[in-house]
Amino acid sequence: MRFDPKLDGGETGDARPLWQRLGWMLAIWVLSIAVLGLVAYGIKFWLNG
Amino acid sequence: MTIDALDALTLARIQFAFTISFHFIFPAFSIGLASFLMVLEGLWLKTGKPLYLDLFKYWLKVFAVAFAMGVVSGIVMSYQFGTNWSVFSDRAGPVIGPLMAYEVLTAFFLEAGFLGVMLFGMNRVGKKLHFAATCLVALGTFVSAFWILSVNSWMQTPTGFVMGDNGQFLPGGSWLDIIFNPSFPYRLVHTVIAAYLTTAFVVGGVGAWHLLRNSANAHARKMFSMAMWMAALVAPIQIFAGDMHGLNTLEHQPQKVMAMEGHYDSHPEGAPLILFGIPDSEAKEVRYKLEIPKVSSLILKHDPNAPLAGLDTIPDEDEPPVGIVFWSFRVMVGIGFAMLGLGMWSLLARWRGRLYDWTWLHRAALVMGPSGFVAVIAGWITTEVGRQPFTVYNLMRTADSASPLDAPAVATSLLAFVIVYFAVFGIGTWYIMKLMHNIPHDDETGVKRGDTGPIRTAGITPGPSQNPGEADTFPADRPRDDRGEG
Repeated sequence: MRFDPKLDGGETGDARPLWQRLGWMLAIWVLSIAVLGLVAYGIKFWLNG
Repeated sequence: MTIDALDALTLARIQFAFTISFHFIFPAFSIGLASFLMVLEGLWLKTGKPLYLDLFKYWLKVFAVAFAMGVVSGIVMSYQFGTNWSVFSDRAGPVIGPLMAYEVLTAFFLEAGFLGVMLFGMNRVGKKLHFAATCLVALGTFVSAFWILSVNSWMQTPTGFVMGDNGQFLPGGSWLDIIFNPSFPYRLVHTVIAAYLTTAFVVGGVGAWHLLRNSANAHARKMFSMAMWMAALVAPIQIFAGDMHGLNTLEHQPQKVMAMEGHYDSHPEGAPLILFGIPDSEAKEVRYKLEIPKVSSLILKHDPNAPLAGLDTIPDEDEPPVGIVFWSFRVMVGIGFAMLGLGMWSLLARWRGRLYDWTWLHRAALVMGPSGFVAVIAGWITTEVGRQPFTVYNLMRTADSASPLDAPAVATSLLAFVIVYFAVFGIGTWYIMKLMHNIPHDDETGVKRGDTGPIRTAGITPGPSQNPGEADTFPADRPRDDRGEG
């Protein structure tokens, strides 16, 4: 996945079919939650340590 | 109670106060900033003006850092219920546990999840789904505030529960009675508006800072104008909401209002409004006070001669610490009126056509930039210290709520928190300041096709960008000089 800090790829995204855009949305959503979950577990282990 | 246990309790309270004060700064900012970003992206999609997208990009970076620090410090807060306040968690858990779980679920699944789409997803999901993600993040910040304020309000005005045989607070007939406890609607409105105002004054302060450097900067003008509209329109609403919240507090937590007002004595024929003074809880009086007769009764009862009870009607062991509550309340109210003053000043400047070149207005807005943070912390201190000496108002004492920990254990974790928080959040805050110091400009961190230089030159003289896989990074039919003003 390419990080797009420019947020300039709106047209690129709009050119994709809807199912693909929704799929990407789901994938990024799941990954974001997974990353935060890892951070939460890290803090939990630190506090329990 | 031994001295060790007392010390552990005091340290646990300091630790909670320290961590929540750090934490509260970030959601107070991100709640408002999420909505500001939603408005900016919505305006960009509606008008097509690149200026709104530039501002969106500018503030998105700030939001991402503030949000990350808010979530991380919030995770620590929730764990602390188990480490230092296990007795409270055990007894009140059946009521507050589910509500806090909803808050965490909201923070994870709405805010954090869709923030990822906001940051990484534009070229994957397209503009409309990206905007939907922005709206869901803004909604998430609000829903998150809803649940956590419901929990806090239940601790202030507990309803809808029954006491179990084991001393636990158990859900009663309806969860709605717990969630919508008597102080919750007032606290929710007052706190969320405070978050919006906090953000508005940060945005206004940053806009003012850049206007002082270059009053022609269109981006600085737009953000300053939007922030000053918020100040002018929302500050009066906030003062009204605060007044309503105060009347609700008088009804349900009278000793908190007595402490806020510095009323050690009852006033059967109308209570004075003490503007300033030094509360002395030993002597039960406010020293060197400056007061206006009967105005407190007028504000709180809408009758100058209405009787108001004082702390002399409350057992000493149930009194909150008056000095802290008295002064934190005045700091909050003072800043609220200063915000109103700046908002009115901006209206005058707008009417005179001097919104963007009135240097003193910009200096005042710059000084007021962080004022929202001070006000929300002062307000939080007022409501939390005013609830003392109880965690669950009138039902469970703070002294009976802490974990059976030794003082050295709490002191060690407190020291670790202080070091880690100042290091991690100090760096984060410094980075936010750095981002806000950057001048907002056209094509904020963005580039148009061809501006990036060659992607492959094959050892020859650099030519224009050759990346057929990427569409134009900005719509070609949209003139870059189509800027919004004023």
